[in-house]
Amino acid sequence: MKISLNWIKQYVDIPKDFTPQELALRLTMSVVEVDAVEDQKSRYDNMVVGEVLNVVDHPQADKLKVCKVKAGSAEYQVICGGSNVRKGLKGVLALPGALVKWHGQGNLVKLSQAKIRGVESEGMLCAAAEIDLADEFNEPTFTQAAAGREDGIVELTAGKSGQPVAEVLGLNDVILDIDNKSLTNRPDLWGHYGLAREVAALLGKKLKPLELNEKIVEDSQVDLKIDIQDAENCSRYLGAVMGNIRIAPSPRWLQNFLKAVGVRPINNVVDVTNFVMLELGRPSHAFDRLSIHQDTITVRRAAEGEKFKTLDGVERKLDGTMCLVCDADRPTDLAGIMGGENSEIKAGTTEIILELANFNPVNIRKTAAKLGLRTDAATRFEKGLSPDLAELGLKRLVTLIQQLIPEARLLSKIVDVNHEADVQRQIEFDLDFIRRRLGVPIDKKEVSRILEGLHFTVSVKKEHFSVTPPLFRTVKDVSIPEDLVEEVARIYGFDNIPPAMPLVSMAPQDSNAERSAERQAKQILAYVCGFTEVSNYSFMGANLIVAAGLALDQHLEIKNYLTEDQRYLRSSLLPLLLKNAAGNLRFFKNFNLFELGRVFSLGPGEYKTDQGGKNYLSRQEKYLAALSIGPEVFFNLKGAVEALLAGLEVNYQFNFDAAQAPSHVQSSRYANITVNDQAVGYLAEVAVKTCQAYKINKAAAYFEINFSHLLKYLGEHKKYQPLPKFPGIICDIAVVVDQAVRWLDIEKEVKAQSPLINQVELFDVYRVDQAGAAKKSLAFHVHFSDANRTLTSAETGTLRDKIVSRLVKKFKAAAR
Amino acid sequence: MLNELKKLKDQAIKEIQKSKALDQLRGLEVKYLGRKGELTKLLRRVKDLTIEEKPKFGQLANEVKQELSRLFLDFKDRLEPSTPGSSGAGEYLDLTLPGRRYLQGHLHPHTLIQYQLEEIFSNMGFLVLEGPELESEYYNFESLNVPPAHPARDIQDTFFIKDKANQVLRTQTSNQQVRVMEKYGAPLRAVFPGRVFRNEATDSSHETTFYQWEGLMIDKDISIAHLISTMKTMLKGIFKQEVAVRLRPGYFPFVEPGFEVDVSCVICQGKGCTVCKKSGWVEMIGSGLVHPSVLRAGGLNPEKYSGFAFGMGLTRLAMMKYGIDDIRLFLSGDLRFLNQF
Repeated sequence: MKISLNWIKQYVDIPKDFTPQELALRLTMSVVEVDAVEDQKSRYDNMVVGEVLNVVDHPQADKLKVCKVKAGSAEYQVICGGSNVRKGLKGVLALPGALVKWHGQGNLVKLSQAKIRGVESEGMLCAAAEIDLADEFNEPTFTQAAAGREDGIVELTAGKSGQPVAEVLGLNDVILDIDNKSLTNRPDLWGHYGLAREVAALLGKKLKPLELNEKIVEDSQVDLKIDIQDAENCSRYLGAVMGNIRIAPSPRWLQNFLKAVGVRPINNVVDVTNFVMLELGRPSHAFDRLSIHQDTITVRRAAEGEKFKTLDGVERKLDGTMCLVCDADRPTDLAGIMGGENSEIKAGTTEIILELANFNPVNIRKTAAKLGLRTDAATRFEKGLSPDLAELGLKRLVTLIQQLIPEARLLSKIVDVNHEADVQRQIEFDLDFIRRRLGVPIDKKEVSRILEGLHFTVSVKKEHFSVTPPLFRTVKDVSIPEDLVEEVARIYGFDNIPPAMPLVSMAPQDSNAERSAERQAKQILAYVCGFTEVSNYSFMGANLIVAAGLALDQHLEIKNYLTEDQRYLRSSLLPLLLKNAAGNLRFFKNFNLFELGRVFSLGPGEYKTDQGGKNYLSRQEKYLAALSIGPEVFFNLKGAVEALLAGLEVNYQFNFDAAQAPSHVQSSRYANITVNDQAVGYLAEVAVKTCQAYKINKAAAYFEINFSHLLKYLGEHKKYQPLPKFPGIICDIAVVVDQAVRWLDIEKEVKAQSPLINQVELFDVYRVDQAGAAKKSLAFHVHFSDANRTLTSAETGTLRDKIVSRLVKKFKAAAR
Repeated sequence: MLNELKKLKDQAIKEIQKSKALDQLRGLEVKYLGRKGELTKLLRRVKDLTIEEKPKFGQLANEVKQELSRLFLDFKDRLEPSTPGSSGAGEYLDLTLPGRRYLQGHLHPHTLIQYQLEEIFSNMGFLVLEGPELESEYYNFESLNVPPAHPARDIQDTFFIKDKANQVLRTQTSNQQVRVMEKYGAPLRAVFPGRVFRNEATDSSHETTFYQWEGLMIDKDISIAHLISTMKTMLKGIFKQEVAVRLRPGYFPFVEPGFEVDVSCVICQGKGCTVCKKSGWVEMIGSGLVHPSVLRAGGLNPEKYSGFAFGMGLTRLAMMKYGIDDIRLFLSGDLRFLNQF
């Protein structure tokens, strides 16, 4: 929202030495966020009134002239292509440093002295479009002699040669651009008067009263009938008929205020309604009385599909929730948003009906959104206006119209249909309450002074405050003592509150075991195993789900998804990890990725939708998953799982049951991970078809662990074992077996041979070709020890032979 | 004599370099640097020199002595066995070769910055709690004083779930406020990190998915002064320097009063740059005193307890801290990005 500083100054005296920037900062710190401070003058810096002294033809160009231009005591040589340039013309002379738009198009360019076709030009005589004046069609200080022709330069009718152009144009305002988002809770600030009130409070100045015609003379010449049928959407309708209206352009002062804040002047009546809206934040509407059938106003719900042409000429299709203001026969106004074309003020309008109604903010917001019609009026209505502003608005409208058209007068009574409920607004609190919330021993008088400065009615008995908010502050905005804490704090200045640490009981809070486990898991994977953590979206497209061999119908779907590839909530971390892998293969040969995040599934989960209710939110467990690409990829990942689960002190097991393998992995390279016989995850090489579907042309391995589930099995199992009192003996054994003989079985068999064996440790595996068949050689250490005595080498030698012969017999092993 | 000294030096170096065994090297050391060695002999003749020549000769003799000593030490090291238990001389080791390369993994910048914040708040006795990402409209909105018709529901572009009325992807970590009050009661201090979702078009500074960091403290007489102090402590912990902050009014339905906390721009030290849009301040934290109706929703008595709450964009903070200019990199899975952390 744009705020004119000149307009604010109508209501409050701002000290001369108080710069607009200082004011903007004060407003930002205590009221609303000021995004920018724009000085109107700065647009016309380095532009002065230039009087053309003589004109000669340019020696090199047919359409150009070389002019001598006088600006005050200085003279400049200027090349000009304007078809209307002539001796004696007073134009806008832009000097080096001025910002101009070449031919009225593109970005602003800083002018500099230049040679044009070989002749020096020290400035430029500007066309209106080149200096953003093209829309100033009724700007009284200049004429466009070459109107309709784009090559005509501005001809000024006022101003002395050398005078700054901004001065001639009357541009001496400063515009504050306010962030609308910072105003959503303050409908009273959607107008200059409201902001002036805050400025007055901040500067300790008096807010000047509005000029109001207190005694509006009513008449009964016209019987205005108002009927609110849709009371839900219209809680109050204040109307009056005015006659003796003469439609004309508004006076200069009014036009300037409107233009300063970006509103186009139209005619005196429309301009006054806009002015009052921008002054009080209170929208209103004026109908042409003769277009309103039978002086009847009816507020009703639109019919489903009903059509209505708003005054921008667009025919709009309405639905049954929208609200219309109608006359005896037809709709004439889209309530609170935009008037109808059929009843707008015309050049010949002589009688008008004024409307000041209170419309339902939610309905206005929804209607405006549905129709894509966010007007200034709608923006204000949807914030929820104070109901009492209607009367003030009407008084102000009538006052201003009579100021502009002295003979205008009311032809009807002021009709007020009011369904607003009276609200008790008194707020009670003790001084101590304010002090405790602020954390500052603020003085009683200071609290009163601040609240009274903001027009609250304050009564203090000892330390007790009874405060009544002013009518322009709505119930939504101010109704509880905490709201007054805010009022006091912001004017007192949040920055004047000295920071203080809370004093609390040092009783420890519960620790979060899940969070610690997560941190440990991530650190093991990243800093022990060398994996890189990725973070993927929680949603994905059907193509990725199908490519991973997952069932689409097991996925939650986003109702208002943005794009196809963000349509379904992920049920597994796999698809996006595969996608990450495919992307990274362009730059890396081998890599390890992991992610810890929530996945979503259809059934009910652990979280309730509300405390008392019986419903649960959809399941959203945390999973930990990793994907590896590189040599010996299965074992690379298996090692990571081992390091991870050992680090988390989980007693786990791998089970090699190919029948359980999901379709997106190779069943012969699959192990599921169990804890206490409960599956917590799996580890596998990704199926070739799945890799291909993701355009991954290398072997990839993947593991996933249901982390929410795993948390149940975290333990602290570490226990000290006494150090052996007697030395042990280590024997090395190497055997060659068929590829299909599993190490797990050999290890088990070895261990079974003697209770003296406490560890079997594989240290070498390699492939050998024997008699044309691929076999594998396994070499391992066997650790023998006894807690009560020293073993002899003869003893372990016998055991060693026993193990080897057992392996030969059971696995057809060949000893090496 | 200067020439003799130079000759002696060259001769000694040649012989040292040729030596093959420790004994031989020791013999050379005695021959040149010993008490009756060549250098000593030469030095004795210094008295024959003129006053002008003396200092020059002395300096050079000193240099020669140092250089030879260094060389003897160096060759002694080379000729001695370098591995315990072996008798032969060690091989020459090129110490400039790079060290052994360990496989280096990386944690995500979100994780790293969360750890930092967790440490700061754990030290102040705050719990770290997480909650559901798929949330009920009740906890995401109603419980936070945002009734169904409230404009905030339009502003926060929410993702809804098909056929699951009442479930939304949470738009803010504030969804935890009432959940946590219900579970832990008061007094309470906790922080909630997590992933949040907004249905809006993405560009270099907007994402559908980003991380927030939220905090809540409830006790008797919690004040604005307490909030300011906690924010300053947090910011000092993150930026490792005192950071100026300023509070100004801000509107959030679940706090009253509510304010924005601006942080003095750490990029330009508050002088004004593109990051802070020339203002010297960066809007970073939304905060306020917990609204009484939120306390009531959490089963707490607002007459007895008050609290503060604050929330900020963790992703935004990471961007500021690490100088990341495109928010889309965070969820890109691109190792060229991730391996930098």
